[in-house]
Amino acid sequence: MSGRRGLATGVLLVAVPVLLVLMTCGGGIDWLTPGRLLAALRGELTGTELALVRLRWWKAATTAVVGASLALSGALLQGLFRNGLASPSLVGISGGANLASSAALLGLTRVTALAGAAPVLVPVAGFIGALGDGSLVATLARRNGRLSIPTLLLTGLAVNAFLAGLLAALQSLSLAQPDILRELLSLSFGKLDDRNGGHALTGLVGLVVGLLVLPFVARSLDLLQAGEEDAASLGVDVPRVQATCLAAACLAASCAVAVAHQVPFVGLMVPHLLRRLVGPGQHVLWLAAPAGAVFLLLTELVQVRVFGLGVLQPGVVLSLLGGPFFLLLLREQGRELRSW
Amino acid sequence: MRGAGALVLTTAALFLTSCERATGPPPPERARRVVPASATACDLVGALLPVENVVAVPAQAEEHSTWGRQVALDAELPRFPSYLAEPILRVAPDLVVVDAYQSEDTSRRLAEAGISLHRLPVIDDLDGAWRALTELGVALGRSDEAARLIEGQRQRREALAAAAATRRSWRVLAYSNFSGQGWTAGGGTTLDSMLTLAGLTNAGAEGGKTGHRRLTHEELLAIDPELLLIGAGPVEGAVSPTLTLLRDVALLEELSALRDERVVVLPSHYFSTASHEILGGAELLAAEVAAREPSLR
Amino acid sequence: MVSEVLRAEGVGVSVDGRTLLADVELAVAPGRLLALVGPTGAGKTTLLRCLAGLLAPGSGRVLVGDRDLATLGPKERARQVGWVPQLLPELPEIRVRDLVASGRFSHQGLLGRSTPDDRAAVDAALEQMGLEARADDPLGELSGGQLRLALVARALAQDAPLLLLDEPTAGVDSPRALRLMERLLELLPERSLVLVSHDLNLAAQHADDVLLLSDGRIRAQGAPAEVLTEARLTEAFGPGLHVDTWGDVSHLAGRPRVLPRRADPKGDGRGLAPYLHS
Repeated sequence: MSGRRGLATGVLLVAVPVLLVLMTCGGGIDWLTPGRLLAALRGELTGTELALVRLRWWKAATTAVVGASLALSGALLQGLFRNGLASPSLVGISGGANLASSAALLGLTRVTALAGAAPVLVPVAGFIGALGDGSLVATLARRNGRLSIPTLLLTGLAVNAFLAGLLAALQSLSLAQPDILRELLSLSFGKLDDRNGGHALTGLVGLVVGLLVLPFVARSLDLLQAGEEDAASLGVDVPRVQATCLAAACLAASCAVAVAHQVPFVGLMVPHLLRRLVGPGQHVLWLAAPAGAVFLLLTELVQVRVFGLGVLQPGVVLSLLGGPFFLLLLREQGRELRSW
Repeated sequence: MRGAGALVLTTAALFLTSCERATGPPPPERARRVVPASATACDLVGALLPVENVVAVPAQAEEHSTWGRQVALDAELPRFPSYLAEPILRVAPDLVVVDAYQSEDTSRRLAEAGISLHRLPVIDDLDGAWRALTELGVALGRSDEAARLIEGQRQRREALAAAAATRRSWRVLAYSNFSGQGWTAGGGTTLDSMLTLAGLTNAGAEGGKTGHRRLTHEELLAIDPELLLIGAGPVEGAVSPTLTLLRDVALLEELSALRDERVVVLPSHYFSTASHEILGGAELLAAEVAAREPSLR
Repeated sequence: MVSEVLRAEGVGVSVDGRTLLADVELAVAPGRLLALVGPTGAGKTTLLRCLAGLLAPGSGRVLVGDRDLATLGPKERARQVGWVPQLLPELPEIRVRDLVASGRFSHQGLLGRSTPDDRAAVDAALEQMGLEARADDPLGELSGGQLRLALVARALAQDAPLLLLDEPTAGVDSPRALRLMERLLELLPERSLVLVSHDLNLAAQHADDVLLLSDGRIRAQGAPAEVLTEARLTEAFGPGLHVDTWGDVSHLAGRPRVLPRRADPKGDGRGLAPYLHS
């Protein structure tokens, strides 16, 4: 990546998210004019209009933070695994979060005294589920104190399949209660509406930790692309880098799924899009967060404009977009794909 | 250590306050701009308020609410596809009536924006629905209407029971299958309550089984009910998808209810109701059974 | 004061109960080239990996200067021992200069920022290996021999007093292999080299010391003429190798020459026949 191109990309990746956040603040069922947004900033709005701006602002902030965290997490994992198929969901983060949140939600519908605690308990359960599952997969994939990357991928697959079974069993408990099913569905396909400052802040914690780790691992991840032994010979502390990246990726993604539930494909797709745009290497890591924010803000903005507010969940649109995109990617890179 | 202790205490305190369900400010004495947030809420609100006091409805109101079916809803009336704060804020309601299971996140955003909320209890039977009506009547400032409605329903229930006493209590199985797995309603469900009101025996509750549960074809054959109760599909006038499915399975030709065409198809707003319309459903069901009485005997 | 750059004491490695290396004792004096030779599967690369600190020996220890390699941090270790792998996974889009610059990692801080010193070291290493002109080319455009030179340049940029090379001439044709070895010999007075090679003549012609391994044990070590005798080679490799001298080629005087020689069909007792039935 040349310096000029890098600079231009950097500027774009700051300016575009800001613009998209503003657009998300302005757009919902109908558009608020920039004048009204400005008035809100000056504290001149009251009542419904103020409440709307607040709702949209926290939605924008949560969307940006969640998109950024998932993309960063995906980029870290793809760098660590040296495998473009790696994503937060692959190491079990989404599955674990989904299962734990669903269990919490269903449990709360039975214990009515605690039902009001759902906005706190469900994300907390999701976070614990995500981090617990991520650690479980990582622990199972350790061999003689070393993290085995192929084992990690396969362990993730196996654990995910197991969790999916548990989830299905759990969902069948609420078979004929459409309202609960609807709520459970929101756990599987993400929820970015009706978030508040607590959601955005929780997501931000994971993102900041992930970003703080980056400078310390970016160069090492570059060197790891030639293999663990080669990196070690150059002075890379391979086990430490692996543990740090995995922990940061898990934490960032866990915070994201705790506040927005399962938002698929962002962690997988954004790093690929970036490599396409700026070539491989550690700059993908640096650009992942802003690019992820842009990606999720944009898809959410477009889907609300096209389908209307609350018609489809973010995950549905992302899956519809992500599936074909990924197939296209696989086709184009067909000659490089090897399974051996 | 002290820092950690303080953190735990703060978290616990935050948690305890968070257990409180959002209600928003107290509702006005007589609410005039009301949003029922679920199909059940539509039935209950619609029973106590004139339709012009309802300022927005969920998109499923017309399919799953009896009230939504019966009053011709204005095409201009705002409909929201899911329970989100923005579309509800847009219509500036003075009270939102929410189902027990609906998103607490959304309720909090509404309460924070100064909207009053009334939360319905979980309704499993007619008595539960009446309690919900009474509470809602207070919240809406329309206790008299609620009392009158309940009194009317009480008389209808007695009439239903009297008519049922003259008939045999048929073994009826509620069954639903939309090409996935089939399920039935055991004891403690609104469908069970509807069957009981109609003076029928819920075959799905035999052996003390409760709640909604999966039912295989094998179990269906083993139960072999005298009458099948199924829901109509979402498309008006079309054949019920459950019925189509049942008829497509060759094995189920042995089912006596199918063979002798003893199948009652209930409109989906009755089949899935969780409001006082359980009674309406029971009356419809009792009438259907009475009409088939000769063939049943 | 220690006189060795590197020393192995009783190094042994076993995996799943199979002994790969046992009781290896060796020392590398400053400014010398040690060649590890032996048949396939003798444990040459395993030993080299132990010496590089990439594999922790099950028993014994490896000393760099007077410090145990196992006690060094990854970066400290990399500043002491440079490693030239046989092959790299395909990274065709990386530029030569960037590959060489990655050798500076152990000299950089936590954030991996490169300093003018780093850039100077990279330029010097590229020049030493004659790669200045190819500095901005991607690795995918280099020949096998040039790729080796680039890997050596990376180890040079690493600025370690000791370089370990795994089969540096494998897959490179003979004239180029010769030129590669000449470049390596130029490094010698300042640096010490240990290389693994399956090419006995390469060891015979260029090494100061030769260590013969078979079945994970040292069979002989010392000057090429002492180690590479027909008897020892037959013991390690089996029959078929003939050793003679370069005759009147003066600069190679005293260095053995190893030739594979087919058995005499008439069976004069020096061919394969006596061993085939043993």
